Amino acid sequence: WVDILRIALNNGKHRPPPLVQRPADPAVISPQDPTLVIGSSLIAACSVNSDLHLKAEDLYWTLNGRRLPPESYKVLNGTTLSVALANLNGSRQQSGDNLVCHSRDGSILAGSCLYVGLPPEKPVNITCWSKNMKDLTCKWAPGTEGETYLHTNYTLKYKLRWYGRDNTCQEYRTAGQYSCHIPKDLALFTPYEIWVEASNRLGVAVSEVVMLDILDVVTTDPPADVTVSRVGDLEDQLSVRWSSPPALKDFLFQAKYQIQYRVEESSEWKVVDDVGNQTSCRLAGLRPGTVYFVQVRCNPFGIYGSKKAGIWSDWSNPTAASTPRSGEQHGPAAITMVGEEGKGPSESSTLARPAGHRGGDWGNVQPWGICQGPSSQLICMGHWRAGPGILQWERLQQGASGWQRVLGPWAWLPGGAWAPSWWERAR
Amino acid sequence: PVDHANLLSSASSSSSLSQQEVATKIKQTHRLTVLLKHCSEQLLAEYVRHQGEPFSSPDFQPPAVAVPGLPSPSVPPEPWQALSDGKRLWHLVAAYTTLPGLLGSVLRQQAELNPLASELHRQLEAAARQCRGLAGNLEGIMGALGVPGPPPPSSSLGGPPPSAFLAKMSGYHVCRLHRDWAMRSHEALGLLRTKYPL
Repeated sequence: WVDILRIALNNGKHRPPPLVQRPADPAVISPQDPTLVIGSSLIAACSVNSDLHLKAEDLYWTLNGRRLPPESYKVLNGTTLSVALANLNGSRQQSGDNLVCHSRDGSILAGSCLYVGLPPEKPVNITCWSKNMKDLTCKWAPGTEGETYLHTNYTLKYKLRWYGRDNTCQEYRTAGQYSCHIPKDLALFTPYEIWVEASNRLGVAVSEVVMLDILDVVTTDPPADVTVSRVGDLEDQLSVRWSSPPALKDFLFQAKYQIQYRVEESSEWKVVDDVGNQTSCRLAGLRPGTVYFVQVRCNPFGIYGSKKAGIWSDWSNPTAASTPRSGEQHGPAAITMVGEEGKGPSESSTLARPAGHRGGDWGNVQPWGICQGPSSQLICMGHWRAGPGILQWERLQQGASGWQRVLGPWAWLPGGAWAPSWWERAR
Repeated sequence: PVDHANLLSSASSSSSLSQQEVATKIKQTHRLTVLLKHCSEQLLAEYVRHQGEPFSSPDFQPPAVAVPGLPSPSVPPEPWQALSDGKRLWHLVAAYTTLPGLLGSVLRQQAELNPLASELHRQLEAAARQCRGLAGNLEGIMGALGVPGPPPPSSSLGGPPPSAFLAKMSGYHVCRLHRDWAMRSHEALGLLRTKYPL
């Protein structure tokens, strides 16, 4: 039946079935651990040890825990039962599908792991970059849109174009699953050939060879010391400054920069492309009173006279800043007046409002704000038309002889402005 | 093995640690067995997850036949309870000096069968380390109580690499053994703690 087995297998590779059972094994399955292409068929046989006094009719098969139909079984001899599997699907787990031979009571007599899949396809889209000309990181894509179902090993290899041996990259998965990092011993001004080999149990596939000079794929660190500040009182502008990445400062290159910015609530970045090689830029057309996040990145263009653009660095960490705002406060602003308990005005007899603005224009006459709280800490709330800045406050207090108007100190608005003491000591 | 029924008397004469120090060591070791109980359950669950059905099904019934090259637990449950503390410790040390090597073999096999299962590999390595630690602690307690320990295990883990299914099966048995011994050692140390309170 060994010959029947060999003929019946198609599209598969398998080790020749062992003809000797180890004394302790209750049964033996043949073939052991075969590797097969998806869609192929397989006939496997389970031979029980005659010491067990089991008959072939007493056996049944499962594949990954599911019982296989008896129609696919065939008794080959008194102690051997075969099963025919057709049109196999890709292996459910990389450790192999479990094809198991059971005795009637369910106990496991023997097993064989099936490895069903596809040979690897050529890896594609090899892209590489060098950080500051010191190293090389490459990444690639597997080349199958679907799965191979078998564990596939990738090896990145490289060599100098006109001489030298093949070198193998050692540090994998540094920039994603399909990547490798070459940390040192790289030559400049001379082209490298780079390729990726994919291998699994069913075969090997080699990518196209990519040729590159390290100097053509240089990237660098993001710009340092990025600061974003207001431009005076201008509500629609912010000024961005940075310094060029320090690692490449000794090399001849013309850096190109790019800025991107967005408002706090949005995830859409706006890109400023034509920054050139200055280290500052002014953003205009912005919304007043809004928080912006800003990032800058650098391209080491033309390093050592290379004609090609380099590779853009990562974006710098986002820096936040807000544009100034004048105009109406949204919602109530509050001013707190602090005094001694029992001395000074009570809440039912005090109103307050801003009465003067330092350094800005003043809107209409302000409405009175209502004060609440104990005399030690009155909080007055109102909707006032005033920009941020230093305001003078006035208080309206009801006394024995009617309402009295009292001018008070300067205090900062917005919200929670704090006047440190009563405007007048009780006489 | 010598009968160690009179553990206390031999302890006071031959131990170099005070009663207090022994009790502390027993308490620490008991804590270690709590950790091992938890980790060994997790390891078994993680292991079967990667081998596929039928290993990962809840009613998985492994064959009663021992897998070649793998020792089975040497003392069944009822006689275990009847042993003296010294004998129990002896068996525990024998198990925990053998388990690291077995777990190492499973790790090597799983590195080939499941090369991407890094969490499984990490847990197998941690389990071997924890077993070595526990063995050391137990040997310390045995020494303090004046109980001689078992001989070091023979390195019998060579031999031809098994087929993939046998590797999955023997790995299952090792992980389950590891869990069973963790439960036993937790029990045994619990008993010791009541006998040697702080």
